[in-house]
Amino acid sequence: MKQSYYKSDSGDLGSILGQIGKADLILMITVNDRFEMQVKQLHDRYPDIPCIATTGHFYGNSLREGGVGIVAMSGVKAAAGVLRSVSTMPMRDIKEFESNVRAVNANSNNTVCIDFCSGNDAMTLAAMNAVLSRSGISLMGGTAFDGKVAVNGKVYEDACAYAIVRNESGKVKVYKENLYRPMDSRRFIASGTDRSRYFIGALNGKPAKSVYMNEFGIPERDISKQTFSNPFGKITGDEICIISLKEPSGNGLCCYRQVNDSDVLTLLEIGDHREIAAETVAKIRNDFKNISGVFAVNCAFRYLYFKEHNFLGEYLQSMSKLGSFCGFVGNGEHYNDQFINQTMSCVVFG
Amino acid sequence: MGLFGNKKNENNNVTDQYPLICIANSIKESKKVLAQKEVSSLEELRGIQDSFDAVLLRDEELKQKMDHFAEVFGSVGNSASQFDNVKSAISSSVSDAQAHMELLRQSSEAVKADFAEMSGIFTDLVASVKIIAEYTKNITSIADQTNILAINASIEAARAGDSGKGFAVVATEVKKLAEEIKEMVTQVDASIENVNTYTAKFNESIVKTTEALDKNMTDLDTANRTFDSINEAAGGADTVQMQIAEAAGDASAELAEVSSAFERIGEQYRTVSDHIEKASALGTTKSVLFENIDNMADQIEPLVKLQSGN
Repeated sequence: MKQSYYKSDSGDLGSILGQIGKADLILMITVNDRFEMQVKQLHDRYPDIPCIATTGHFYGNSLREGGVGIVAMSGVKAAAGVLRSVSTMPMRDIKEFESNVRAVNANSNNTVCIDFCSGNDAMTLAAMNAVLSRSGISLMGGTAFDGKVAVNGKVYEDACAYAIVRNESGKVKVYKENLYRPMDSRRFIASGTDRSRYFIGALNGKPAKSVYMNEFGIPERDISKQTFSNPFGKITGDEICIISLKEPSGNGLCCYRQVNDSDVLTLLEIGDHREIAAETVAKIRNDFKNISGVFAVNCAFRYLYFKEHNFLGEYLQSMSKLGSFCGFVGNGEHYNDQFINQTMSCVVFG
Repeated sequence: MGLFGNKKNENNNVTDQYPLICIANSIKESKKVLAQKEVSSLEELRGIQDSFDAVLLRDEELKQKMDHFAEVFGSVGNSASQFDNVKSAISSSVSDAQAHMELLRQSSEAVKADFAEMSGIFTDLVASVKIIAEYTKNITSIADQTNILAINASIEAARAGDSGKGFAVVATEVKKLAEEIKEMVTQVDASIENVNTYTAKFNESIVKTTEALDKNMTDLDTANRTFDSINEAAGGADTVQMQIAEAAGDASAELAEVSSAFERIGEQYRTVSDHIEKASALGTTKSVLFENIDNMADQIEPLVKLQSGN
């Protein structure tokens, strides 16, 4: 497998299209203003190559907002498709999804599903994993920045563009990186939730807003900012899925992902980002003798946090030392069946 | 035909219902997993109950041991506090006292010996004074004879007339001298009398002091015998001490058992804690399944509407 990426910080797709060599799958990330145009431009140039696209900020070993990026993967067997109406019924197109999984001869060791979603991420992941989990196939992806995705030249809203990718020459593994750790051993049981609004009414029976404000001694207006330091974590067995806080709403809190009644939450605090990033690199190096490519989705909150701490450049350089490293800044991340916030999710091809 | 059966009509084919079938199967699968996890949770909870029953049983055993332990150590405390330190202190004090008494005895003996020597010296002194008194008697006698001679000399000198005047003067002087000697002797006799008086008194004191010393020695002996009795009695406390040690040994054995009981309780608590940990972890995983069931079930209505053309 070989992964190459090409980017134009000025957003000039034409200047990089000619550089793409052999490709079995193409991913494109660009801005909303140019999305439809560049999706067509790409498809016109490579009509026979499976292609999925989304809106966001592309990066390789550096990031310039407003650019366009292309990822070309060769030495893979890929099938691209779309799940429509993902806010209400992503299962609508599940048969085609299954067909695409079968089409690439998917295997848990060498196949990954890469997805770009604009709709109900959790519902969409549940639909895809209903099929993928049968074969142990992993998934990574993210949420579109501006609600648009594309598959093979066609633009969709309220849809999930996916590519089933089998590495013909090596293995595949997905990772997630969490900068946060539990503050302590306290647990908060969520109740009074509204899944459609990503709303939490109460924590351990008390109004969620006051619980959070009292915990950190902050006024209501600082709740949205506090998520950079102290988001929630949903505990699932040994895993913790970060839930970012969006804003207060009445006596409760609105988040960036769904919270359900009886979800067990904990409060998180930021760790040492340098140390954690280094651990991720070490873990990947430990798992892979040779690395063909790394494709990663970094949450917008991480992007802002790294910028604020003058760490973004250092981070991208560090990850680029693994090999061909690229990805985009998204509004939410996907890691197998988890829809998560403030996280990095990536796939590594061996 | 049922909702998920192979309903055929001219406009819709079998595959229209496929998503619904998929959802139904997914829900069934989730429910099956959920049921298994629920069973596991109940087993964990039962484990918790069993562990706590064992904890309560151990706790009762511990309570009884603690009650008995308290009694035993109560008696140990009383006895030990009375005998142990006091015995050591007594023994130490007795040793010190007897050592000091021995020094006192030796000093008294030395004093008695000194007084005996002094008494001997004063006896010699008295003898010497007696001799002096004898001598003074002789001196008085001689002075009297000298006086008589001086009188006789004066008489003869008077008989001699002028040639005897010088001799009369001498005789007068001799007479005066004899008188002065008698006066001195009288004074010496008075001094000798004083010496005799003081010597008698001193001897009396020496005798009294010697008697007092003797009494002291007798008292020392008595005290020493008393201290020996004390030591003997203190030694007798060894028996009590052994009893105390035995009781303390029993208490220690009980304490060891208590400690083992605590250890067993600790193991039970740890087991309970493990069960709770596992139950909690299981509980958190169920929330994912609930979310998946909700997300799948929520799609049924819009899919049905889509397929029915609404």
